[in-house]
Amino acid sequence: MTHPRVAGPLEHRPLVWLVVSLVCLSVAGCADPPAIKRFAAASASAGERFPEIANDIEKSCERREKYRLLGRWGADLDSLEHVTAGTCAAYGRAVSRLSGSHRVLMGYMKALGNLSAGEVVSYDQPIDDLGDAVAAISPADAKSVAAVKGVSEVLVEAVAGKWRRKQLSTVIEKTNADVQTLITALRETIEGDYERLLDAESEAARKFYLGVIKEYRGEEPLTAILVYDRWLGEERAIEARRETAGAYVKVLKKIARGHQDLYDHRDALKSKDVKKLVLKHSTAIEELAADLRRAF
Amino acid sequence: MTGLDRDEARGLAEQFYRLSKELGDYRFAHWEELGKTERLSVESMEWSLLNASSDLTATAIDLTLDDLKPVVKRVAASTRKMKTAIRKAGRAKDVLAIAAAAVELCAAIVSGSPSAIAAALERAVKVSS
Repeated sequence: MTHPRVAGPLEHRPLVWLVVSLVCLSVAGCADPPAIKRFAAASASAGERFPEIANDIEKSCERREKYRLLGRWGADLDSLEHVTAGTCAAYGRAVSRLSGSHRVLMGYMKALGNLSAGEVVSYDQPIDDLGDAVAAISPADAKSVAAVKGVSEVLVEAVAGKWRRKQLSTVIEKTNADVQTLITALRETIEGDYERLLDAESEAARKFYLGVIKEYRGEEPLTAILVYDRWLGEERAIEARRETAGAYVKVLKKIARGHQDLYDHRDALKSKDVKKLVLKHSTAIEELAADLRRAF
Repeated sequence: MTGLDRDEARGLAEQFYRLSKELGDYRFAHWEELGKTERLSVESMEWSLLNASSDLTATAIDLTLDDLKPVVKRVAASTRKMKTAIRKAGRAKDVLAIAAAAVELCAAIVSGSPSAIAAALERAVKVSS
């Protein structure tokens, strides 16, 4: 007696792949977690240097104040710590608030990376359970179970991936304007305000060192040369701080541009164009990170 | 520094800095012509302008951060939402719901029924929303 043969899933292979294709199409493909994760990680890593730049806003005030007091009293540079502390307290408060705002931005970037990667989620156990469930449906055909399990892996990841992309897309859409405003404000503070404070520090150094040189070069020419060398050293240190600040401004611009690109393509986060753009920004940020170690 | 906005504070800071620098240029260029008392007087004005410039810069930073308060609050709120979403994604209940939908779809695939596959696929996609 012959029994009608029941088709196993493997014999439905074209159908299986059709379903897989439909699933992937219906969820607009899988997000590109590594690209967004890398962008977020590069941003957060470069951001670790920001507190040193921000803290230098207060330190620059202290150095400027020391030059002023030295010129007036001729006191020892290191003994003026207590005098400058009170004068620059307002800068310290500004630094604290500035660092707080920056921490919020970095927290956002880290969360963005974690959500895109979905690394806290493991679907292995549910998929194994799924294998058992499928075995119950078609117990005689181990190959069929494996095949269906394989399809299920794609499906679970696709569905979960779609959920993550939807969350990502919503967050990026709702937050982009604020992220751009926040980054612009941080950038202007560094490239405008901090730069001006370094200008003032440089000018304070000139007033002090050049004044001393002009005053004593006739009587003590050798000392004047040594003082001049020290002045040049201070100027080099200021220049290094400027370059570090400049590099961080570029990092902030890249973060802003990268987030804007994600916003512009929020409905196609999987696309090759997005991956290319985001990876380009990540690489640029990683390269700039080397310049951030210059002064501090 | 009441009555100034951040751009006005920055503009004044820049002008005071330049004035201080130009006075310094003048003092050093005419060092020999100026008497010691005149030099000290000019220098005192230079420091006053330089300090005023820097204090205005600190004021500009403060004003920027004041303006930024609601923005920072909203970004922090978005971050909290993402953290909640990440936790939600890791919850067994949600994962099991996805897996259950997958099981249904697998059963439909095994059955070979296009209508069952279509229905299961629709339900599987709904699970994610």
